[in-house]
Amino acid sequence: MSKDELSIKEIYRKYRGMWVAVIVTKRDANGQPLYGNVVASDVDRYRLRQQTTSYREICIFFAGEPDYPLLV
Amino acid sequence: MKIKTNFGLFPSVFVILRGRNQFEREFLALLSSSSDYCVIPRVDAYMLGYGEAVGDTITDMITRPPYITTLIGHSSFVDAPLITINEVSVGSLTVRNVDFIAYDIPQEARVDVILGKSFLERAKARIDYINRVVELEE
Repeated sequence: MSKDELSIKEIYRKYRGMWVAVIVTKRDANGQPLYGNVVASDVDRYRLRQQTTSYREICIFFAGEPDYPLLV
Repeated sequence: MKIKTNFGLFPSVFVILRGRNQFEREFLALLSSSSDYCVIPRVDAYMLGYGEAVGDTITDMITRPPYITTLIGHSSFVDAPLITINEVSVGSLTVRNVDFIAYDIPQEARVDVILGKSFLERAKARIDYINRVVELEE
């Protein structure tokens, strides 16, 4: 495990409320990410995309839950 | 081949999309059986090799290209490009040639990608809301 590697739970805690781009380093038996290296983070998902254009493979998600109900 | 995974507040799974140019983008995707199509942000469709997803040239606006489709949204009609993503994978389960709408969901929803019926039916999705478990099967 590299020193920058974090579990997905740790990423949720450390980057709460931000969009994150992660290089996944370990997965569970169902292919769901367990650990990864965060290469970019931003409160704005469009600015995050500007930092990830050079990556062939990248995992992007929001570290947190929505502020509002999703659908009405 | 069966995938079984837990979810939190909303039914969701990490999904890998492979495009025309062999780039890969992975997202925590919302599973929504009320959506006919899957949804991907326009910029990510572009990064996967689907240039038509960001076709805002004057020619596109005047001629309305054939890949543009009209959808009923929650409060209005929406025109958006309909594209076919080469591969959609959850773990070892892969579904090929899945229809997606290239459309930017407001980022306040905190969701980039929706897996709608164009994927869920083919992946034989079962969602257990009580135990918060998603099952997919090839």
